[in-house]
Amino acid sequence: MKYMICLAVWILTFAVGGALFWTSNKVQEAESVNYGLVAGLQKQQDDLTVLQAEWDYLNNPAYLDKLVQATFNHSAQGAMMLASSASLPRMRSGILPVRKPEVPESLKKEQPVIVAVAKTVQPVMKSQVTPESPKQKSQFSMVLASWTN
Amino acid sequence: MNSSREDYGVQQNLSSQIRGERSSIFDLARGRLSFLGTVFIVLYVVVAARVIDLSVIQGALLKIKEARVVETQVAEKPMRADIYDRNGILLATTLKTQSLFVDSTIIQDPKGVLAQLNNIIPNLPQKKTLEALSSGRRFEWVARDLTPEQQQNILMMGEPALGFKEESRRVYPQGQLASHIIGYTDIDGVGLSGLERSYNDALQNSHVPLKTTIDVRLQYAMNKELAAAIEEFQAKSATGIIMNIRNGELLAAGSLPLFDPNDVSASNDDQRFNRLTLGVYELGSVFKIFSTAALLNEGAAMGRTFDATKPLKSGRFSIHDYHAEKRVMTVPEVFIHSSNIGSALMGQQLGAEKLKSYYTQLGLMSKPEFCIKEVGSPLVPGTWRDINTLTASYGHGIAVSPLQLAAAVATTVGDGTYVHPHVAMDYKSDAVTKRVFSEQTAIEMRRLMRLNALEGSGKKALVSGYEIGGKTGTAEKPNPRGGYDRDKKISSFVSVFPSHDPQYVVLVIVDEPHGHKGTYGYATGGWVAAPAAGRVVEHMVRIMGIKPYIQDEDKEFVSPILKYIEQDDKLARAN
Repeated sequence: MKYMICLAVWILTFAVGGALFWTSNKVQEAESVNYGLVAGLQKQQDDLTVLQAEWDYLNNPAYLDKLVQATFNHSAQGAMMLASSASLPRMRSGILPVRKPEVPESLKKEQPVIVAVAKTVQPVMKSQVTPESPKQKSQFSMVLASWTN
Repeated sequence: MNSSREDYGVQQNLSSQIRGERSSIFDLARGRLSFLGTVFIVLYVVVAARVIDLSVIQGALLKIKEARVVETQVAEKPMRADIYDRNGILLATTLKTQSLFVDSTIIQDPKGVLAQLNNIIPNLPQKKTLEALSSGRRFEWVARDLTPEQQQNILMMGEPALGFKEESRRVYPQGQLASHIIGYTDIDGVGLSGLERSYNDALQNSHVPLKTTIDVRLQYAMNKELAAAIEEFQAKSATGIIMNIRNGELLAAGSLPLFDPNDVSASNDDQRFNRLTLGVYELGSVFKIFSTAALLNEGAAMGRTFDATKPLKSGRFSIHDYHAEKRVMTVPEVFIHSSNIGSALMGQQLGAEKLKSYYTQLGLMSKPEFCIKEVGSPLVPGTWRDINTLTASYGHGIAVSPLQLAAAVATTVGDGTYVHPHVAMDYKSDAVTKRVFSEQTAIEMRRLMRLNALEGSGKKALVSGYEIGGKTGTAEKPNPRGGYDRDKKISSFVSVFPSHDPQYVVLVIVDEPHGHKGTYGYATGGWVAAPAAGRVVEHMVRIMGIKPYIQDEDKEFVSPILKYIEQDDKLARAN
């Protein structure tokens, strides 16, 4: 009887110890996963901050203004040309026919067929500016560069 | 026989006694051994389990635990919060960077390492770096805030004495756009000026970003036009404000020259000086807005006349008009011809106490309350004499900051209650909002300012299709040796629009402009600041999508005061 009690106590001790060990491991594992996720989120947040800083840097008004002037070469419109979309005239419905229009009887008779003749047209190069003949190779390079720009 | 039996019995008893004692001793020893054996077995099992735990189970999670350490370090020191404009554009943020340090106790060839570092980090201070590399200390900074590319190249050097430490760096993606308002921090992330300084605790201790009232598009437009004015008139500096009259929000606040908060060391004190809030100036005729409003608020009629036929003398002082009309003028005429004599007479009629009272209520006599700490105190006469009442009526002898002027104008033409200027979106003033002028006075002032833009000195600020009202100011700067310097002027223009229902105040001040052929040598507010203000308004209406007004409304708006103006050809056209 005494041995049975001792054995039961030992088994119980091992069981409780094992359970605690298992729980401890599970908690640590969950904790580590949690920290890993938080660290990952933090890293992503840092990356987002860098991206946002870069985006706002590249979209600063001075840079955009410079780009607009260099690329589009247009000036700002006059203030009097401003209007809201609400002030635009409304499009009338029924501008486009919803079904094929009926053809009058008079037009239904056979019409003479006009045969289209394909004609090859050579493209004509037109330039407003006639470049001068380059005298030297370096000058030619400069002219070429000005065209490409 | 009996004795032998007894002896046998005794022997038996003794034998069994001896056996029992021996048996109990063996049992005890066996029990103890079993117990010790079990304890050792348990201990070995525990140790074995722990070994398996550490090597197998937890080994797989080691990488995550390392991340946990990093995360814990990060969590200990929160990053400084960001600053945004009103549309969510980033004005200031904190990025993680790597800084280079050296353990000079293990470095073998300091000069060789320096030569290699020179190829990677430009402008490395030679003497200081060599001292750090050969100092014999375990930790010395070599370079801060390296780029990832520089860090990579240093790692490729393979020098074991060099190490990296993660730091944070304040970055301003918009550069110098709103540098005087946003401010800057030192290398340790402590705010030294602007919002960075004033909201230092909030930015450092919380992750809640600070939202400002600034609109970067309008700020750029303002800076651009101020820079253009400086260049055209070879001026020393310029200041500009766009303020929402209804709530005191500053949409743009420019103080040129600017500086780059990303590289503060490259700027000088003059560039870092915030002229908008810290600088105080005698702004001249723009003060006629307040003296005129004060007179009207006291019940004076528009038709009241003032004799400006000859200079006004007070003691040894004589007050002249810049463009002398030399006639008796009504209130609107004094305003649109910017008569110093007429305004001085208005101040005289009001009296010193009332004029001072109005100026105090408009926030022109004391240091204003504002979101940033760099705020200048106005310069007012220590002893207020009669002549001060006269000169203060047309903006001389009293120096205020551009911020104070914009707030006072917003108060005058708004609904008459004081407008608290602010640049932080969540700003709430502790001060009680007081009524300074009646609503009727505010309407009359809108009419006067609109008329001045149509027929007075502010014509160059007009933008077709938009009701702009305004007042110019041209003041000579005080000479350090006494008196005023006639060659050094401050030209200003303050405009409000739309006049019939003002929404915005646009203020432009140009310091020490020089006239040129195009302006016939003039460098007055009407020639210098008014066109710049007009161009700013043009940008504003395009950016904000403000539609043009209907032309007829304008005639109706100014018509009630046209009868008080001497009808010449120009005014007849306006009518």
